[in-house]
Amino acid sequence: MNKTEYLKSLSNELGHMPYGDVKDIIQSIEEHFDEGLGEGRSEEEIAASLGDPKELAAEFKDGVKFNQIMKKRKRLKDYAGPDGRGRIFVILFNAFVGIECWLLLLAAIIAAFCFLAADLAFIGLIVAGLITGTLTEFMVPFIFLILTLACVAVFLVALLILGIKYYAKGLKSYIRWNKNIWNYGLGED
Amino acid sequence: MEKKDIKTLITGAIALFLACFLGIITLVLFAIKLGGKAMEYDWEGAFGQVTEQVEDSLGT
Repeated sequence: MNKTEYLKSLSNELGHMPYGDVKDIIQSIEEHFDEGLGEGRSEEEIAASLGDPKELAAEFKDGVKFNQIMKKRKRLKDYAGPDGRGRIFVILFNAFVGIECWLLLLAAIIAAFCFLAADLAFIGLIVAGLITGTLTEFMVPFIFLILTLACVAVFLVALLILGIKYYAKGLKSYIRWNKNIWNYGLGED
Repeated sequence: MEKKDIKTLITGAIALFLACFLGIITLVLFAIKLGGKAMEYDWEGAFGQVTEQVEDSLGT
């Protein structure tokens, strides 16, 4: 497959991605071809080193950047079996740092959730007190307290939405990073 | 960071600011109310009663 055929096939596979992203990807692949041609490699060789356009497009669709894909390809090419150092690093790092940090963050999310529940329960109690007439003497301050607690609840909800989303994202990347080191060693990067 | 996340972040920041602002107002309102109650309270009567009780218990 030559450069034109490869680019055509890749852009077909990338069809559903936003136009700007496809343009950037095609540009980076063209640059990669130009660099390879400058080093004296043929278009077919470069296309073969990039792999199947369908697989490459799938990686781009997963949000992986071109330089990351190329690093992965290089690592796979240079792969010479499992690296003991990498595996020891993964075990020790997780035993003393990794798992503890993730558990601490999880505890923070659970704590925020509990705070939110307590906050809502407190609002409920004050509203019930105001309705039944037990708190009528301090009506105005308690109304302000309800408003304050409602704002705290909104803040906690925003914090939880972002916290859970980025916790899941971060954990996914962290597991991928661990898997990479476990399989391919510490590497140079 | 996505646009949606930035919106959530801004909402959270505004809510936190409002919570602090309203929290201070709430504290001031409670202080005024409780201060008023404390002013109305019959401290002399209450202390006088305690003094009498102490004196009775001491037998003076």
